[in-house]
Amino acid sequence: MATNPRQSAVDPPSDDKRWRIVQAAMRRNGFRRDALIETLHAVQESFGYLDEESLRYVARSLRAPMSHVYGVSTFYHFFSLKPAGEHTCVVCTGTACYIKGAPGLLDAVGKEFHIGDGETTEDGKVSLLTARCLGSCGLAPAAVFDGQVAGKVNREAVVERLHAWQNGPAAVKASPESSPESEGSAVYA
Amino acid sequence: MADNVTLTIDGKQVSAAPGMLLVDAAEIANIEIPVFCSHPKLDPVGCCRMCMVEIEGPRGSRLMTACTTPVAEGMVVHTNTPQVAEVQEANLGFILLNHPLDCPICDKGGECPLQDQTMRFGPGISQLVEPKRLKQKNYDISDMIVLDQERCVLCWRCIRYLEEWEDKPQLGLHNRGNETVIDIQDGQPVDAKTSGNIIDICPVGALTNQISRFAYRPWEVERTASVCNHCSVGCNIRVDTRTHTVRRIIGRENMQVNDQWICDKGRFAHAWVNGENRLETPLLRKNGELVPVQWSEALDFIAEKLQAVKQQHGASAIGAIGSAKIGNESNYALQRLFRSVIGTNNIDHRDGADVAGLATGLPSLAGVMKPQYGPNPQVDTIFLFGIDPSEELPILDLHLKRAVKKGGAKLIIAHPRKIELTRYNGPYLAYEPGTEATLLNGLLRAAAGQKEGLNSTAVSHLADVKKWTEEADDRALADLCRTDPAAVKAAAAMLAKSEKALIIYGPQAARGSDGPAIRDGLANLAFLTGHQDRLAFVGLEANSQGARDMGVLPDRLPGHASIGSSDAVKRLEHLWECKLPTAAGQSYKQMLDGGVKALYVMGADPASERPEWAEKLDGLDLLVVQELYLTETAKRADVVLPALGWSETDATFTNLERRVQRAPKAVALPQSRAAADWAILSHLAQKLGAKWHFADAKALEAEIGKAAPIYRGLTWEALGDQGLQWDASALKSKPELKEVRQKMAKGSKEYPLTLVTGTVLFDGGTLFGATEKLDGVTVGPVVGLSPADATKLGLTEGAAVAVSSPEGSLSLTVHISEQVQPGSAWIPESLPGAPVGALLNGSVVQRVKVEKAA
Repeated sequence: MATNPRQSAVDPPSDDKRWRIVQAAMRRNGFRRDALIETLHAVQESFGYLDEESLRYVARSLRAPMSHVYGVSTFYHFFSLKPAGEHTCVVCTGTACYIKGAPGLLDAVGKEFHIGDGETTEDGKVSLLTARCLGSCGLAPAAVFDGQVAGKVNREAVVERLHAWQNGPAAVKASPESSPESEGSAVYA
Repeated sequence: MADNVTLTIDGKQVSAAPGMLLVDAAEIANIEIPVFCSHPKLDPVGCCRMCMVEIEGPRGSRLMTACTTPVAEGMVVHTNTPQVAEVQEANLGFILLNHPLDCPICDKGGECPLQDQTMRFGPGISQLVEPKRLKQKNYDISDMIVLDQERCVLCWRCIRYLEEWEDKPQLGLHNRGNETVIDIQDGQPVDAKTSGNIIDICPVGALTNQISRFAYRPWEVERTASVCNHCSVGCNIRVDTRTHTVRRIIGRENMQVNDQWICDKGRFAHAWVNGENRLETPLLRKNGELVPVQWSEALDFIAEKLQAVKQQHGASAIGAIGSAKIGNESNYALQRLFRSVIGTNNIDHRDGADVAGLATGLPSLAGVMKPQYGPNPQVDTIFLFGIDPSEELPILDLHLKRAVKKGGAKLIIAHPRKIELTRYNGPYLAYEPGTEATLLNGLLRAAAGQKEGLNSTAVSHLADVKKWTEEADDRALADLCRTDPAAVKAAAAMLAKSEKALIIYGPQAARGSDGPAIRDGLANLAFLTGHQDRLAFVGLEANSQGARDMGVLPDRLPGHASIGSSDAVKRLEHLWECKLPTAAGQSYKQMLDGGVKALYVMGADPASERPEWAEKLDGLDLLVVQELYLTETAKRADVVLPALGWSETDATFTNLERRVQRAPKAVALPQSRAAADWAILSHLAQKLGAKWHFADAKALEAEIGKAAPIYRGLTWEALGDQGLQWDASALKSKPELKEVRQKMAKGSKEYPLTLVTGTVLFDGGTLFGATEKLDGVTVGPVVGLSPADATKLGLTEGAAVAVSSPEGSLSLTVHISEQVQPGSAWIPESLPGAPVGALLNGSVVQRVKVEKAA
């Protein structure tokens, strides 16, 4: 491989200060091509997702083919190519949750909000994700709302919570933490 | 070199070079190790896990991949133990889990490594009870290649080919696990010029040929080993035919020429062979109309008419145009007919005498390939002058990229356009057409200033050199040539420093009246820097070299003998039983500009090059055209004779490194009455009273060996399927330094841009245009402008413009390209409906203006 310069010859796509974090990550690794994953980590963490512009910038800076950069960013689950919504809902699809009705939850969200796994509502408010297993099988079916695990959720509860996110707290009668939407549901901080 | 290591594979002793991979060592011992991802021409990755073998070690036997493990002294390897068999079966079971079993409709069926290996090593029954996964099928990744992601076994061969050879990583591996696919990015089609090779190396039917799709079954086709006829590299190919039609073309290995790769033009553009509009009977003009006639009537008419013109105006009023697209035999027959029977030297071909060529071609293509393969590089620096291999000679382009990337060769490029290869390490010398000699003088001047690496004989003339080249100083380079003086200095230093540099120039650089000056300028530079043996002129057509060798030139006899050479004249007069004309003949341009009354054209289409020539052709006493198609020129002819083309008749072609190769007959045209070019000429000679009796092409080859000493011994049988190079040592001339001057064209305010022309691979010519499925990649009638000039003129991509010169005007659309230098307008040759010759009208350098179309 040709020796890369210690300095990036490529200017970042914009004046956004977050690019400095990305540049620092690349400089720390001497702009080596094998530091691609770390660089993408920096982009993901500072911007929340990888858009085409940032992928091209990273590819040019590290002198890596775009096909490699794109391949790596689609390989790892951690990287997202689309901006996440303001709020995220992760539905567990592990064996226990599956049996207890996880497909039904996804189906309900899909019907109500027209989003599938990995997609975000048009207004950018809510993203839906799935997880292989949360390890909370005793609470099946489980879901994670903005980092908070909720157990024994049902279709209505999920839909209501997502509506609340979309329409703002004012539109909901009670705050999610305090409202027992359904019998037997428990919210863990 | 280190000694070979000895290892044992399945009880056989094998001696292999250190560093060799186990899979290659096994092949030496004729032991088969099944592979998918491993390919002898690609770097190992070891991702398919098919090549597992057992290697004995201190802690017992271990399973390892043979395609990534290098050989070691005393290694003991087993490829056929029960454990290996179990792994192979399991691995195939895994690959077949999702591979669709649509072999009956798959183009690969019958020559598919997966099929073969499943039969040999795989499980007998499918273990999958679940439905197979679904992915994209019948998915076009370019106009020429179809991808079937379900059939793909993810071996990465296509990805690696595009990265390692083409240096264009246009395919990638996306997603993960069960969902992994090979895909293009953002819908951008694969546009590498040799992309079709990934079809050949795909071990399954995932990549198939869009042009030949469903047109053949591998076990039904007849296979003919041949050479490609699209450019002068002369790639070795295999032509697969059935029921008198060419079904597909694939690459064939020749390590001296094309490795095993061929370009997309060679692979896909073959529909012209079986084109619908091929000429099938002789046509004679009666009452202004071309009507079908018998051969005898047509030939009688020509013979009578030629004799009448000869009697009335003399033999010098008759001319003949040969073709660098046609084999040696027919070109030889053409010049023999006109020299010995008619008695004229008015014989030439396009890019013949109008271009200042050199007789000897490239020293060897292997010299360019060697840096990537051998520890013993034959060239370390390559200087391309006015040639764009990416568009003109794609396989040379592939070799060059590889030589730079793998062999560390340096690439210096001088071209009016910033061609694709400029992305590598060497300096790029842009120049304005018409200032080539000044640029070369500038290079010579910079080279003369070097302290080391100059030729010791040439150095004694250093004072003269400095005096001649005084004017080509930095200012002249920057102002006249628009070349960066620093790049000129860097290039000169690299040439002087280089042990063995190869200098290649093409017809575009040495055309017209300045051609000889430019050739001498290059010779000066090569001599002074000590590379005079490696200065090469390469023509662009399949038989550019051969047409010159055969003496299809107004001032050269077969074998590059001068028409005044008494030896050659004596030999030929004895062989041909005639008296040879002594006066030099007219060149292609002179004949078409009105120098002759009767013209015999074999496989050329000057009428479509320049409107003015088309008019002049109408005024001739006799125009005979021997052609495959009714071209613009043929439409104006008095007699049109239908010819058999490449792959329809035995022929030999001589490539750019003087390698004479066979292109045998592969298809017959049972409906057609067309005849081989040499056969038509032979019959015509008989009608003119000569005693010609050539039974076949081989008889002509035997005679060529007698007429041109350089071709002695190059018979059909001797050439074999890899061809032979003729020996150029007899043609070496003593190098000398010559003063070089070039008259500068004056700039003009009215016409602010300099016209740059050149060849593009996917042009709209007769041969390429016949393959309709390739219409999408054909370059349309465009004019290339630099972003700066486009902004200045207020033009955007795709805008309709009129480009005019003092000679004429063309309607074109704008294509904005970074490759085009500011101050120039680029119009490729042979674009559909846009003869750039209309603007040039015979000159080489032309100024143009670009205006918005009204």
